[in-house]
Amino acid sequence: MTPASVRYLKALCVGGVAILVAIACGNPTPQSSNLASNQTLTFPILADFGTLDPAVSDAETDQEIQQNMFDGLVKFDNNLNVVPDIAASMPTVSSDGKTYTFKLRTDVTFSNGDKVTSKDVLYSWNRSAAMQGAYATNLSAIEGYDKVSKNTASGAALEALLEKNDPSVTLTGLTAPDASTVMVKLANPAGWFLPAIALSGSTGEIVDVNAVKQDFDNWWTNPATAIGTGPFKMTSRVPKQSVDFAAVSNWWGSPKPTLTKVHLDVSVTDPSTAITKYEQGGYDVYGYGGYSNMPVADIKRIQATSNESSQLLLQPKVRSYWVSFNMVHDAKRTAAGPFLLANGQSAHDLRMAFALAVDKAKLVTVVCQDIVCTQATGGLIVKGLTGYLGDGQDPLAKFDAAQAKTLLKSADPDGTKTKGLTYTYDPENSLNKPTAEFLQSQWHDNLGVDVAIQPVSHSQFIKGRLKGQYVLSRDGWQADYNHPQDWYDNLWGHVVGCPDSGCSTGYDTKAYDDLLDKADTESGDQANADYKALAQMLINDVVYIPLYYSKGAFLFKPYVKGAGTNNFSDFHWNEIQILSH
Amino acid sequence: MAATAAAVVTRPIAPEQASLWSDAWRRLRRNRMALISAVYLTLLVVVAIVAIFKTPYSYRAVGVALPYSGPSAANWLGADILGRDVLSRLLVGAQISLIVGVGTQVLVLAVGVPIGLIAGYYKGVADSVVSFIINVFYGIPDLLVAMILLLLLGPSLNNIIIAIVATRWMDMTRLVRGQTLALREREFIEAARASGAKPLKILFGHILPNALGPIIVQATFGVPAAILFEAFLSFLGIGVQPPTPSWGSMASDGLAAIRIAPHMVLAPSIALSLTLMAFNFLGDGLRDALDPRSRR
Repeated sequence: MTPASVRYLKALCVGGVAILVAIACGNPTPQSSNLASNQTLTFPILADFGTLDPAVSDAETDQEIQQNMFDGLVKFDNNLNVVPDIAASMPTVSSDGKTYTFKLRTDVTFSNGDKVTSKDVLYSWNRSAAMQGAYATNLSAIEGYDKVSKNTASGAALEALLEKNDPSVTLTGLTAPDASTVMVKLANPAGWFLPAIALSGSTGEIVDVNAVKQDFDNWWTNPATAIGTGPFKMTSRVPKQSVDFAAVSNWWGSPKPTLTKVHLDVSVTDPSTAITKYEQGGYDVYGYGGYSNMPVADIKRIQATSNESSQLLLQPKVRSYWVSFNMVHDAKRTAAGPFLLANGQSAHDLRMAFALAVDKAKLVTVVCQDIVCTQATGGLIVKGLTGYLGDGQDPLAKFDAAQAKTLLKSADPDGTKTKGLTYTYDPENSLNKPTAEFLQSQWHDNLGVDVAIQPVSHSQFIKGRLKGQYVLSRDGWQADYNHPQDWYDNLWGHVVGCPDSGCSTGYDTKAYDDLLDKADTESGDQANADYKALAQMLINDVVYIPLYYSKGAFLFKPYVKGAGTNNFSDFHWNEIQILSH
Repeated sequence: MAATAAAVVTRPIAPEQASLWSDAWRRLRRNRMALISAVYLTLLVVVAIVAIFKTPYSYRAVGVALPYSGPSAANWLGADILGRDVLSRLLVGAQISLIVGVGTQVLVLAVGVPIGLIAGYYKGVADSVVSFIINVFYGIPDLLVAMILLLLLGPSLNNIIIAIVATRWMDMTRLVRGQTLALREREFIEAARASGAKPLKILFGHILPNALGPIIVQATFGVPAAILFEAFLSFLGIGVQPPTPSWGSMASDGLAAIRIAPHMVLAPSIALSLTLMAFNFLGDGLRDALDPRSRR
């Protein structure tokens, strides 16, 4: 070997070792180098949100957006466990289960820099209880709620009452011993209290009194006053066109947002058009913001497209769909119909006939193509949630055309009771119209009853249904949190106003209300047993016709990292990154 | 030869004179497109009548095929969103279109002709009032009128016909009024009037028969307009209600699935287009046949 060769070999060895050391110890390419320079997430919402005020929010879209702007004392993590949010830890609970003590984190600030204290919590919750939005009852376990819920003041007048801690708008069970402690005293033990206040974008969220009092009802419409503690803040809004959000710099929580901007396009209202725009590169995500009801035709097409099928996510959601009967007719509920509780056994048999006449398995195959829903055979509460009765445990899910016909013959021998019936639905969800036509076909074929179907716009439909204006109607519920109380109280409980308001069917019996009151104060197995007994009451009285549990359909571009969804809600924006593409 | 000559002499020497209708029929037969259209429309009527008694499947039977599936031996025009047979629904939809088209024109004739006759014959106040009402109706968008009526009356087949008549009667009235204004000054009407004929007799015995040609043409053009209007209303969801199929509602249902099941849109759209074309060609042919002077 020549000296030159040796030198060359040495150099090669040193170089090789250096490369090996670098690989072994080394520093893989920093994650940030994979990130796109433009960290803007764009997605459509197919209708403008109603409000971003947690006290009065109602729609899923409102809440999906608000969860990125506001925080509560506790929240759900992506695995649906209740975990601390603004609270430093989970609360201590007294032995009688009635007093919860929350210690707040001391580093939490609003996006305008205001520090969050226990007074903000008291203000936010008192305000929510007094404003009586759709989710005010999430706070109904707190002592003094009954009195505050009767408040009639609004706007500036209510703000004045809140500012001076007027007893009429102050929850007596809510106190702040110091700036970082909140004590909550419940009127009765309530196993559902923590899940209820953990619901994001709702009445448990904390707002900034300094921002709210500038425009009590519309503070959330102005980027200057739409202040929360979340990782994103609104920067501009053109109603029915677009909304923009920017990451809050030095946000107190984690993970720190990588996205710098989130752009919501509100100008496209048709799902198929929005999906086409996604395919053309106009959006990074489809399905976020509560619009995961993708038309089946589009799903089938995307599944058949090789480069797109991997971008599709079908996620079972905690949504249940059924048919409601109008069961009470009084001065407030104008629809009468043949299904009233007061009509006794014959009405019961009619309801059962209508339930048994529907082949729900066929419905799932025909309407959902076995893609976007599964048959609801285990009661109204969706599989996977507490309170699910078990596969095949709901007798109302059965299909028995012969039995249905027999029941109809005995309950309505001359057909007069079932003449001129109408099934009302809202066509905005792409499954509702085919479902209505399927039901119409089933009742015609299996009962010989002609039922007209009537589409009514969603907002009008919801109001009409809760006012008892429809004899037969589309019904459904999306769980807010994993507790049976969310279903049995909010759909049929006297807390929401059954039979006369806030109540689709009007169903109301003393036995139901008594057992519900009992179950709500319990926890664990005892509570679950009583909630199951409530489910059995609804089944025995044939209050509904179970149809299906639905899935959400989402599209994510391959370069969108961290985006996703669980069966309740979208993953938060601060978990998302845009990779180079 | 003598006998032959005598026969020639006894033959009428006047030229062969055809009636208005046989003359029109002769001219119509020469119009190939009009004839093809007439044959198509006759077939459509026959098929629509047969469909009352028999279709390949019940038009309302769901799940007879895989939803969105394309044309096959079992389902010639494929299946729709609920797996219903598109051909069966198309045939029943033809009934709806023909009922609406013809029903509307019958009512338009019943309303428009008498009003037009009265306005044109009596002129003066009657004519002013009728003309004013016609202008008012022309001023209001026909879709708005139809939607308000359907909202008030409810979306049924009868009400759709009423709604379309409410937006279409003016054309016929204006035409008949114009014809009457011209005819009432003609000598034969003067003669009828001088001989003591009553107005009713003059209107329906003399003026109407002489205005019949343009009326028939107008009615023929009115049929496709009504069919299209019904299809449009059904497309918007305020026309014929489920489960009854209409070509418009079928096209509307198919629109959401056009990228995977184009047959759902194409089948009713082609049927609608062919029918509209056929009525228009027939209308053109009738106009040329009944009023050869209008031919360019």
